[in-house]
Amino acid sequence: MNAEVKALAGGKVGLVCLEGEIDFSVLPDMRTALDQAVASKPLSLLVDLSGVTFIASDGLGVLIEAQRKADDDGRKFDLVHPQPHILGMLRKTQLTRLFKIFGSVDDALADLG
Amino acid sequence: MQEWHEIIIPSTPRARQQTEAQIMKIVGDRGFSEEARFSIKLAMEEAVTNAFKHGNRFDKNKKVIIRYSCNDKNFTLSVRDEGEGFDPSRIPDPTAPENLTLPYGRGIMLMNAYMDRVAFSPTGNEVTMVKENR
Repeated sequence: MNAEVKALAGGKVGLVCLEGEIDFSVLPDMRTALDQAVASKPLSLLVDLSGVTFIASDGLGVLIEAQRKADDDGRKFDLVHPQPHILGMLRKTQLTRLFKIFGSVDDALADLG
Repeated sequence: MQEWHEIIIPSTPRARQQTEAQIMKIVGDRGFSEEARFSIKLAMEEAVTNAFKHGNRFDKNKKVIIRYSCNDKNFTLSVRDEGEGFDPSRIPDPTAPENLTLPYGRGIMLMNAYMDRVAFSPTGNEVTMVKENR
């Protein structure tokens, strides 16, 4: 798994781009990247899942933990463009009720206004 | 008659990665669909994680016993740990509103959602799952 943290919109938006397979072995790296993005205190945090080909339930748990931290801090936390298998998992687990999911980073930025 | 293979691994990340990669190669060589391969990989990841975490409690001296059988029509996987077992019927529904924000508790639900058949041993420390190749 690769994780890259970027700042968009003059630092108002944090973007975490995750790529590859998210299994049990990479959870610490995933958690570190998300914690880093949350700690920079953007108004909104986006997690780009377009490059993620596999994620297990513990990876979903790390996303939930990060969302809770952002929410506790009054910040938005949304997901961007999960691939069909990952979107299917989010639907089966009904986490689509928890996460707002955008088709692209541009769509997410447009929603922020 | 199905041919069974057994792999016994310690509760270590390296052992599980090698084993999971080995099994997924066999599934791929058998021509399982992309959907079926994703389902098998996910279910195996969840079952082995449960065995490591909840069964063997990450004790490297405890083993996980993985048995599998694969032909052109279906794949069967059994994962057993050295733990005390549990009652899967007592696992809370992770999709219930009060559980939706919990960062854990989705593994068994995903196994059931992605595999065609899932059964636990009476002691609860072994799960057997089947995926048809459609």
